[in-house]
Amino acid sequence: MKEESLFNYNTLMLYVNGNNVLGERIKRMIVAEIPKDLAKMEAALHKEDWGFVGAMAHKIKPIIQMCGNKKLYDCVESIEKDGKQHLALHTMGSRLRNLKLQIALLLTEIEHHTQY
Amino acid sequence: MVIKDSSKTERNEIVSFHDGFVFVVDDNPVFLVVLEEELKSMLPEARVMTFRTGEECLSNIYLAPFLIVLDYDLSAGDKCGFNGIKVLREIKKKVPAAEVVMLSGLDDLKIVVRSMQCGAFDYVLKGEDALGNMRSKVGHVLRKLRKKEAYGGSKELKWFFKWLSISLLLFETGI
Repeated sequence: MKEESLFNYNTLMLYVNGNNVLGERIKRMIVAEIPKDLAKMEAALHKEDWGFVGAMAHKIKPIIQMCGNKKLYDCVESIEKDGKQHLALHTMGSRLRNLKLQIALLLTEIEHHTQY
Repeated sequence: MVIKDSSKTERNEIVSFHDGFVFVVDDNPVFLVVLEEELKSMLPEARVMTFRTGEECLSNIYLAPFLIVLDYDLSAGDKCGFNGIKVLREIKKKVPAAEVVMLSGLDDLKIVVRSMQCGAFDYVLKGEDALGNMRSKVGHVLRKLRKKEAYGGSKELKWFFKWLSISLLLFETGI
């Protein structure tokens, strides 16, 4: 059975109005930018700066949405909400670890994705 | 991006919306590029500038952009600085005629109302149809600006006809 794809190129194409060149540029940017934001999120988690964890989740949320991954989007959105409202903080560490793992898989998929 | 221009002057007045400035402010670099490309294709004659923080936008506000697409939540890029509403207020103080379209990933009516109260032209929710919505809102802004321009023209015509009628009256009365 084929594994479910984490990256949906068609969703990204909706965002860039079918512009393949821009789509490729955005893919490279996603691969370059998301790890930086995740690192900032982790640093904020260690400092227990929950507001900033939420703010970083908010920042990466539209990028995840562009990748067409609803499950991952919901995960980021829940981290955003709970971070901003200081809720379920005891689960934040494990949720962030899971998010990091899922995003690593997503980025690998994006890197190996070809439009043809 | 901050322009370092020695000939920097206080302009704060929109000269023309045809080849004027358009600012895009978003702390998300990926979304920023998408918006920039979209606005460039929509407004090929305008000069589209992008900023990742509210402070950068405000330090270039003397360029008097006619349109600003501004992210509501700039907290990730501007932790100790400005959020979208604060930037919006500053923009409206400095360039009241600039039309600001707010952008947010938060689907919250309170934010929409707050943005409008602070002088935003409209509000776009970041999502799959964000670009389509933005295109439509920018279209509304352009129509509004064109109307303003047309109204300016008819005002001049009004004065011309007034002058003409006075001249004719004076001619008829032989003065």
